[in-house]
Amino acid sequence: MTTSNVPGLRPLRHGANLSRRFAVGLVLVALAAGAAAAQNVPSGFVVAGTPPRPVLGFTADASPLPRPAPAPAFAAAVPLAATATAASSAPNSLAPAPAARAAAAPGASRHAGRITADDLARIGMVPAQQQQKARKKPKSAGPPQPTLQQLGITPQMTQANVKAQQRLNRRQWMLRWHQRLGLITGGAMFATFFLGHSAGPHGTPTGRNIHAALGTATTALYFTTAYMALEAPKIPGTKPTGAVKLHEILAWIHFPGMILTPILGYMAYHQEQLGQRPHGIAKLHGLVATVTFLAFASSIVAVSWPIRLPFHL
Amino acid sequence: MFRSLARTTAAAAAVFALPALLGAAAKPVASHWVLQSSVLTYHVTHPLHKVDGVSHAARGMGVCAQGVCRFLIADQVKTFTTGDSARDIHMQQVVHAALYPLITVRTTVPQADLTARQIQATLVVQFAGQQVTFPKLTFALHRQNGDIRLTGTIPATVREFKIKPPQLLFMPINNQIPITVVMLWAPAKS
Repeated sequence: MTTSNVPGLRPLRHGANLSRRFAVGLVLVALAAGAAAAQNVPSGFVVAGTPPRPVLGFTADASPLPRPAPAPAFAAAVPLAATATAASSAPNSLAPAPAARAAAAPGASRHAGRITADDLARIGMVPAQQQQKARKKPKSAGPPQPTLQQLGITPQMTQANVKAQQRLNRRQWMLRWHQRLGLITGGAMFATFFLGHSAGPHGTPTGRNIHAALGTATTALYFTTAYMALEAPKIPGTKPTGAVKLHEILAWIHFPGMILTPILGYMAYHQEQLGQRPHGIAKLHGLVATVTFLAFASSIVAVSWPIRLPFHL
Repeated sequence: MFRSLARTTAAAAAVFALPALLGAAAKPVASHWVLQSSVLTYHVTHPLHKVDGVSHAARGMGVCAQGVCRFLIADQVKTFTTGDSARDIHMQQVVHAALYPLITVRTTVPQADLTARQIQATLVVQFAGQQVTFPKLTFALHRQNGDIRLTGTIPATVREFKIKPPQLLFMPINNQIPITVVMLWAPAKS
């Protein structure tokens, strides 16, 4: 259907028709030129509404900056100058692109031929560096993370105390050796106790000598073990509780026992050397040694209590 | 006349009753939560021992906004007790409690999940100088008069916190040190 056939419209003259076709052609040529020029847009610029292109220096961004409504796709693909040309040459056919609006915005004429950061901000474009920063720190949804201060935890409570840790380390090192030496002492004490029968009135001089040597070694081990426990740094504000409490109570029995037993043993040994039966206080050597051994063995068990045997289900 | 009055009355009743019924059905989740009480227990297993260390001193709070709740729970290492002071001090030494005296647990959960019977949460735990993430742990939720009772277990291990396993009689403890969590959260009073 031609315009001449439409009722109510005057048939166009050939000249007027030609000029209109020429105008439409001009617009199309301008658009094509614009599309070609879009490839030559100064690197670092795209128009708001296009997908971000990080390879460029500046990209459109969903940043807090004010941003105009998304432009039609057609306008988005058109470069700044060409869009402005197209918009002015075909006023009713296309919506002005944001860039065109920026160019038409007050103040834009002040920087003829140059686009400033203000202009970019006005049309919703920001430098790529800013956009990358914004990407790195995405605005997380939800409330801010609660802080330790809000819980009433002071910086003093969270502060590292190197000296305290050193004290803990030293204490643990000494107690580890206390444990190891204690087990060795227990073994030596058991051997000494077992061989005590061969050192009695019905024993032999060799048996007495072995018993005396083992007793001396046990005594040395015992006091080394005790030193490791007594010299281990104390932790301020800590009261002994649990198994260690019984362990410490039993020490009040075996510690004096370990002082008395060697003394009494020496006296008994000396009396045996003189061909006498142990008499006087030396007679109590066996009894004191037995009590000491039982207390010491109980002390080892107590500190490990409650023991869960491997075959327990 | 009578029918019209009855209809009006019914309509008015519906208008007034509906918000109340809706309110009762979908009670809004509080925006601020405070940890009222807690029992945190770590379980250590040794070939000859089974030890539980308990703390009741954890502090915590939760803040909800925009459909998301962020929770922070903190507890001092030294508040965990097994009933044996020597063992507790030993624990403090191996976890470097003097250098890292605090255990913090952070999590973010959808606000809507607080009304469910169980919740899946990813916990970020800072302890012994290490940060370990426990993804998608399931905790049971029980509502009690507006409060929430949360129970669950954190499957912690000695190795992931880079703790040298302590030994007794030359035998180290097991790698698993699960932490049982029982917490009572209450809406914060503004």
